[in-house]
Amino acid sequence: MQAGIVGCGVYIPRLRIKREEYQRVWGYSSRWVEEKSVADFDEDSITMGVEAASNALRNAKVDVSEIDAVYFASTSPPYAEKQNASTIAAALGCRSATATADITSSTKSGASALLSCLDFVGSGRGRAGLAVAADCPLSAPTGALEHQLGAAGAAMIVGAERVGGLVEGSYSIVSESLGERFRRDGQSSVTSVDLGPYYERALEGVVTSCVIGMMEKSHRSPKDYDWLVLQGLDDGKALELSKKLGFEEGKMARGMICAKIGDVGAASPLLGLSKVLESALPKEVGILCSYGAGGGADALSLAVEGEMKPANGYGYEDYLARKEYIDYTTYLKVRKTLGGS
Amino acid sequence: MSQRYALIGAKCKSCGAVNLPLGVNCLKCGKVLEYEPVKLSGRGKIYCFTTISRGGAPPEFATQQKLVGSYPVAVVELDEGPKMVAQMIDCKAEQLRIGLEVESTFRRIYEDDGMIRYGTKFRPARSS
Repeated sequence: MQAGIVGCGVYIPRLRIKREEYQRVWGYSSRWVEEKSVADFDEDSITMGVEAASNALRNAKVDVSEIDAVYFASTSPPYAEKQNASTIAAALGCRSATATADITSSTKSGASALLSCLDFVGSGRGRAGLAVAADCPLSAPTGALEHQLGAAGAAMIVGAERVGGLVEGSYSIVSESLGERFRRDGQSSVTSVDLGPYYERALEGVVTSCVIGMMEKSHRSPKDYDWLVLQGLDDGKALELSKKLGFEEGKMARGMICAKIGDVGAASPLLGLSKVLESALPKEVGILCSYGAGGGADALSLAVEGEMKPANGYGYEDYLARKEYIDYTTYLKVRKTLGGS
Repeated sequence: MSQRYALIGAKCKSCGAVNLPLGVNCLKCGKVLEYEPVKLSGRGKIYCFTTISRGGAPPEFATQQKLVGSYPVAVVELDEGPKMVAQMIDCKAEQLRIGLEVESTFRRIYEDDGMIRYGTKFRPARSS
């Protein structure tokens, strides 16, 4: 059975903080984040995942009773033990005969959840599944990664019928490197060790070989593709690598999300892909490559077979436009860095 | 819990009224409730509202009140009939009025013994 993407949905929280606020408070800021989204005090990766999944069902006009699996990806699940996907399935009103799993601990978890869902449907074990990714990673206020960390969710419905995006194949790379981005058990802050050039070489090698491997497996070259979504690395690095790989800048721009939202961890591969798929036209072909710092990368090659337009008011651009700016003190409060119990 | 999370109401087999939450007797006809579950749309109108300010919050909402200040709470009459009490989000207290159309959203409500209580809050409805 050939499984593919039936529809997608996104969620971006309303709160935003501008780069100027970081400049005012700290005197420095991340080079590539103009503003970023912030989860409100009562939002977390579960609530953002529920919103994104509800939007995917609404956009694709799929009834929740057709869903046989819910896979949830996040690097910031509210529970380290007690399955988080169950809360999402319950909030969506899924049937009790639903397969669920949490997939965590890497920024490429969103892509892993999508691949698992494709396997679930492709092997004939279920009719349709939801791959839900949402993330609001935390870091210490002085941490090197802190300014870039945003918050968002995205969800894909995977099925064998009414497929809008056929997944032609996948290609994965595993790699082992230390220190680029990590969070030990029991810690709440993502950290990194300052070894810039070392990571750049590791990241470049992994992402480049993953995209090249995917293209070779699909017997295609950059000119055959209409777009490339590179997630799990900053916009500047993604543009640089895509150029080296032979992709024109316009093909890369369609799936870029970081400048206005920030680094949304495990949500980034599905959010970048949703952004492209919402306006993709039949016969387009594209690649998603999702990088997980210190672990590897997963790529998927997709052929668009049908339009996947969002319901009016529920698209990526709608959420991007719906915003309220907060100052840095409010930011610390809603993230519970200040005054939270 | 899934009924509360997913807003599943109980439609009385005697009189057709939608009950939420589920009780022993139908809130409308008073008969012992035999029902069919119905998924509620999450859309409704503000029936009445208030603002909870410093000193007014119940203990489970005291941290929230300290962090974000006064917060609005409304009784919402859902399109299917039942009324529920919930916090209003994504709006300023001055925007609220009786009859304002709202839509439900899934949020953290409070924490209790280390557990996270999730549930429904409302925000002004999108025009679509």
